[in-house]
Amino acid sequence: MQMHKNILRKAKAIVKRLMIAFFFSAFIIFLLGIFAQSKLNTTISLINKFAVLSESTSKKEANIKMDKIKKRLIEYPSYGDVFASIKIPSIGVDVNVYHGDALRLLKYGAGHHAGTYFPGEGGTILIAGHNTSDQFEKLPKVSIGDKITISAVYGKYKYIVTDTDILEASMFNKELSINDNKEQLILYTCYPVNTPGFKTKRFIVYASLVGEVDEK
Amino acid sequence: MKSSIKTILKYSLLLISSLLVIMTALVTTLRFTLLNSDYIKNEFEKNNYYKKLTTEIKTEMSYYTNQSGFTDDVLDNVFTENDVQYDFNRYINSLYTGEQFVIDTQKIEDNLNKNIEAQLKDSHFKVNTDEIKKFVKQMTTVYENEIKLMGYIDSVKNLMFKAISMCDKVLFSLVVGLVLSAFIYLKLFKTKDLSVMFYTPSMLLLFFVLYFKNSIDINNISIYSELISHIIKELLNNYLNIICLTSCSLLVLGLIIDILRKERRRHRHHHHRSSSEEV
Repeated sequence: MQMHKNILRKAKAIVKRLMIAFFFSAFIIFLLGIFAQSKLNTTISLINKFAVLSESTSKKEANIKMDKIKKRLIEYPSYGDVFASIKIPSIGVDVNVYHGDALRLLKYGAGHHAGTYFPGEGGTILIAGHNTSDQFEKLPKVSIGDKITISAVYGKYKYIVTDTDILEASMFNKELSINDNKEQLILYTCYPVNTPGFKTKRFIVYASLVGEVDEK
Repeated sequence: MKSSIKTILKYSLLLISSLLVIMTALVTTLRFTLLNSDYIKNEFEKNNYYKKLTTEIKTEMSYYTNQSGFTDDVLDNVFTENDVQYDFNRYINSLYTGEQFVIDTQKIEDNLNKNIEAQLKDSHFKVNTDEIKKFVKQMTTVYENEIKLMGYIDSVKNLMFKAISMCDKVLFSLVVGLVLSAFIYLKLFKTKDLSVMFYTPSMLLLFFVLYFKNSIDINNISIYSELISHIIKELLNNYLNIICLTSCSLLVLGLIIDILRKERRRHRHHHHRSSSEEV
């Protein structure tokens, strides 16, 4: 009986101290809430800026179609997805086009520079490709007047080569301007193509839109 | 001393000591995990980072071989996993010591030039030595960038060094403060309610862990690359787990103090009773 009472007394004392600790904790949290809440929230939202939803939870079926009245895609392809192929029959180029021109994508095909217009949207389209035999090795052989076809998942567009140029890579980046009012296709690759080593020049092909090809 | 003043003093001391215990636990954990270069290096090693980084560097380099006209064999035996581990560990050390970090890329250049020579021997290409030099330079730049994580952490280099020295000073002050407040408390109030000093930090640390786990989306953090993100996630989770463990230890410590204290009192009471009986 005495032992039972002792245990009960001991438990009561522990509970009492835990209550004091709880009160202290609540008091400290209350003080933190008053004096440091905004800083804490800023820090947390800053860390959360690095949190992205994993692909499995964010990926859904894309509805890549052209709104012909607005001349805008209803939904855009994801970065890294193949959305078109480009053909230049006169020099035998036939290569897939990825959305994005990171080096990891260029390993597999030509890359559409994110931030420029998509074919059919009525602005500058910039597409890069390696100077390898499976991509743009033969691009320097193209002539003014040659036809280029881009077959995108939402439509087929025909262009005609209007000009070519060779520029230093740094100059190319500086001189490139995006035209919002006229559809212009710019293809480029590293130059020269027949020497080994690091290429600092770019061979550039400019082409204008002829029109959309009706496949019906 | 008036009893009301004594009570106020007792609870104030308990509150201050509790805060000091919390701060000490948080800062000590930080100092021995995220602010400890050996711990960080160990985490990288545990995740097989050096092997993956070696592959990553070779892949990154291969993007340039695509446009260079060389085949991927040009990268064979240019550097080894040991070279990567050695350079990366030196980079981590430099972040924690604030020292200048320079990679000696001469060996890579030499090996690459040897491979290029071998490839050009049987080729029909016109050779432009300037383009070859630029290619070699680009390859060493890729190596340096990958080792230095593209310089993302360089901006916090000085901050890290300052944080460590500040952390040491703060830790020293906290320990001195804690010893002092505990000493004053024991002198004035003996062990009465001493366990509160451990229960409060235990509750607050647990609250801290739950709050951060709920408000920060740790498992979806994405920084630099998948591998680095994975290591950062693990570092953060480890930090929170250690805090959680500290919280449990403090709770157990508080309980032990309470149980032992009670037993001592009972023993004293028993001793007093037996002495009276003797009289």
